Amino acid sequence: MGILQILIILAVVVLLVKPLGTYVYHVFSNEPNRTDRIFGPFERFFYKLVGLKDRSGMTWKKYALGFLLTNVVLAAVGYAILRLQSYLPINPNGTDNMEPTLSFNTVTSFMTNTNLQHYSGESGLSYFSQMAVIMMMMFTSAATGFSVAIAFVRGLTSKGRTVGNFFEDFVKAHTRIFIPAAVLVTMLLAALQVPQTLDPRLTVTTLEGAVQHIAIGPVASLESIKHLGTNGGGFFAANSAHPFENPSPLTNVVEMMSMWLLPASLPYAYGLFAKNRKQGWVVFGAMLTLFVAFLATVYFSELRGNPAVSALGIDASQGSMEGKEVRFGIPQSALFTAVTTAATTGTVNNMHDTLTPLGGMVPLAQMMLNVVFGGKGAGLINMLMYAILGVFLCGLMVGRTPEFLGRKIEAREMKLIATAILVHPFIILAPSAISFLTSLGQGAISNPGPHGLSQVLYEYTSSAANNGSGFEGLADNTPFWNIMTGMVMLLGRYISMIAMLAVAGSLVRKRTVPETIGTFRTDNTLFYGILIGTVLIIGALTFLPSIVLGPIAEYLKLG
Amino acid sequence: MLDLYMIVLLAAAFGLCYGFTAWCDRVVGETEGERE
Repeated sequence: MGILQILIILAVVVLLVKPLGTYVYHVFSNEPNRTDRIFGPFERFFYKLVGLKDRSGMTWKKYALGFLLTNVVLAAVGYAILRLQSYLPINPNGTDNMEPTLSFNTVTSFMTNTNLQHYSGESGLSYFSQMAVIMMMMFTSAATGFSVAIAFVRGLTSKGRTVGNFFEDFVKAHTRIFIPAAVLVTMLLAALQVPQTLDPRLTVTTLEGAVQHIAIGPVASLESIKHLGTNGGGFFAANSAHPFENPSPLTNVVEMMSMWLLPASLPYAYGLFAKNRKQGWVVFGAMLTLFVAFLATVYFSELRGNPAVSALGIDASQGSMEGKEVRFGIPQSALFTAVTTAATTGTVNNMHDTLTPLGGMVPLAQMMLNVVFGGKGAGLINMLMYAILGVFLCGLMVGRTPEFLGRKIEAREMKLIATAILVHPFIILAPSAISFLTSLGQGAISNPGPHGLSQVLYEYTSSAANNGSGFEGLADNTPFWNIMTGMVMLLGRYISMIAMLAVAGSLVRKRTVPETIGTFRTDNTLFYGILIGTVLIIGALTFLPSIVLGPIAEYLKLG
Repeated sequence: MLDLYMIVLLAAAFGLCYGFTAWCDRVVGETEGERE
């Protein structure tokens, strides 16, 4: 029954990839289409309002500076609101101002689409902060990622000097994708008993006579964009394990679909941009294969249970239910874990700290690879980066000038790609080492041995991959962890995006080489295998030692 | 005072990104290879 549930959800995702990918293509292809009649007037009004007269294409550098500048402004506004929230309106619970290093961490976290939370939403933020900072950035960070991915695809598939207009893409991502989808999902979740109110927290008297405060608020609206934007920051500290955020298996499916469908549809949209749908299916197929392998690992590992618990004589026939919600069980918990770390959302419906060692390795590995669907745009960008690397390596092996989509891959593109690939492990492993070597870092580790190593590794991997889920168990709300993870999130987000936009800017100016019989094809089964192989080899070369010292050592110790 | 440090830190991070953008632009501008 568990496997059947998973298969049905997988089948629905695969079926929806084509219509959604086609819609995304129509939104960003700038070709006239039916959606213009519906959304065009809103967009023109908005362009007029902000004085956006010039919507011509931008060079990659102008595009990169456009999204960086937008993010700087949003970060400044967000920081000011968090530091002054007690003086601002819509604060019925009297929440105090947020501490400076925690404000820095929160702002960088939500601006970079990471949504790592070192605070409890229900007690650390006013309703105004939840809406004006958290929810607002959930929209803008997702739209930024989506826009950059589309610009990257335009760079690979079009000719000229420009990769599109950032501000136009940014507005369209809001008006045609995230806002309509968020309204729909909010209404659906509210209908399924998720609270949506501005009333203060409820105060009730229990049967024993004690007074209890029950936090409520605009939960449904936050939940919708939290998943649609692959954000992940929950209204409550327990995130999607909380019964108000995710009350039933049905809401669990709605939340998984919300975070999964848009990233899954992007490879198909890429195929349409490339005028070769097979290209898109090859990328999608590689992502799905890796996903299924990881999902199977976490599902069967959790189903097998924890041998240490069984050794105590406790019945573990239901599998490892520690840290999981009974209403979801193993299948919907394992699937949620795989989806949230594949789509780099970071929302959790079970505690990843209490996953079995091999089960816990899965979210860690998916975030380390950061190509299995990925967050808004990041997964596609990274997978195409590996595709170009794969083409380059194959070119070296057969002594042929590598080409991707008819463009020659040269030293300049490989320099940028190598930088992007190396930065990711560096910003995970170097801060992890610093944390182990300093008392400020060591003080937060609550478990000795391999599990403690996994906790630290997970925190930085989640930050670098802009995922945001926590392994939990780490006492991370300290200035040291707030600042360290804040910097990792910023570098993890912007360095690879800028490098890949530069690759797009370089490729868009190149002459296309006509296809010949000797051209190395990138839309067939062989390339699908090469793509998966490249991802796994690079991932193993960079992260295998740390994985062996963490989850694998823990697994071997359990026996 | 801590506010000032945090603002400087944010500014430094974005400054680093700007510097990286400039470096990437130099790499893209390298003259070898074919261009239209």
